Amino acid sequence: MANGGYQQPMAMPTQPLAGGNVGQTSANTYNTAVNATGMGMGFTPNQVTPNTVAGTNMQQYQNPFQQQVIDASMADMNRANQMALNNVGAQAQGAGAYGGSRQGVAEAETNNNFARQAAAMTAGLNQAGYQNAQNMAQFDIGNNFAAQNQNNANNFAANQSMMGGANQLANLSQQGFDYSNKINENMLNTGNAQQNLIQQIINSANGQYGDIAQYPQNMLNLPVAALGGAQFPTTTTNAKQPGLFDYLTMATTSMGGR
Amino acid sequence: MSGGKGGQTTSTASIPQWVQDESRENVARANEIAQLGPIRNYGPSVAAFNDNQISSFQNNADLASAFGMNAPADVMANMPTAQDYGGGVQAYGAAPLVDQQLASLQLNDPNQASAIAKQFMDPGGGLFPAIQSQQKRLG
Repeated sequence: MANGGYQQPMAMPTQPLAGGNVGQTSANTYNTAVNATGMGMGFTPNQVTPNTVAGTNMQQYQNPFQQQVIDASMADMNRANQMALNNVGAQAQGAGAYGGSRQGVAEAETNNNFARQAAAMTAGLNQAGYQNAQNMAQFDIGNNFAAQNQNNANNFAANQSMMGGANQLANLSQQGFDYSNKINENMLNTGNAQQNLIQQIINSANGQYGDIAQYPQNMLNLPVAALGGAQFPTTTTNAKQPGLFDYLTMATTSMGGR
Repeated sequence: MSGGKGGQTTSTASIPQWVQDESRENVARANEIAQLGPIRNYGPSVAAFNDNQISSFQNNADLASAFGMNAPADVMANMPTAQDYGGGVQAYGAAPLVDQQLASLQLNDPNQASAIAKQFMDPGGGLFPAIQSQQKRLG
């Protein structure tokens, strides 16, 4: 019977979704969601092919004992016919006409009736048998048609369920990925804070070390700083160079003194 | 009576002797200090990555690997090994690189290296290994 079996539309995942950590679980879930979505998108319903009476082998629906029934009925009718013929003979004998033409006519009529009834009986049984076979075939055809439709409906529902599951897996994968990233980000921030603290210690130590290493050079500035505000004494010297008036004065003084 | 044009006045500041003595002593001390040369720093320079950071790096690589992407199995491969400087400080120091640079200077420009080395004392104790060897060779 074509398309009779339910088809499992989705293969079960070959690896457990839950991995060793949330990142691995997210990746496994993501891959499964992708595969399931691909399978779901490739879903095609089976073509419904109704069977027909014309295409059905009716022999399989025939009563295997039909011929026996006919034979038995025929035997019964034959016996009844013999009995009727015997009655015809007895009546002819009682009338002193046994073996006469009238007996022959009566027996022929009896046999003729037997033949008609036998033919009618056989035809009726064959007709009934075929009608019964046809009914059974139509019943099976109807069942098959309904089964095909139901299988398609079941497969479609299963595919819808799988697509819904794939969507849920995708969401879980995204959730796991976000969890993983957030946890990792927090861990990195913690580490960065710790490293920053250590770096500050190092910077402080290097600053102090630099002060020590540079102390001799810086020390030279101390005397300079100490002398920066000192006031040194200033000595002023006046040197007079004689002018013309001085020479004239000197000459006048000399002449007056003679 | 005096006075008239053409006179000149000169003022001279005289530095006291004690100031002159201090200045000479300071210069002498400066020359002495200059002989010390540059002071190396063998301490830590950069804080090393800690366990939280390394785990975060590795987690990120593992996540990439889980999704089928290329990622190093050991995120700290090819990274220098941090040194323990005590007090819980794991860090990297620049001194080895400075040694390397000095050795490279000595190798490529030995005249400049020796000229630099002659400007200050032999630090001793393994300081400036390349220049120190040059000093000893010249000495």
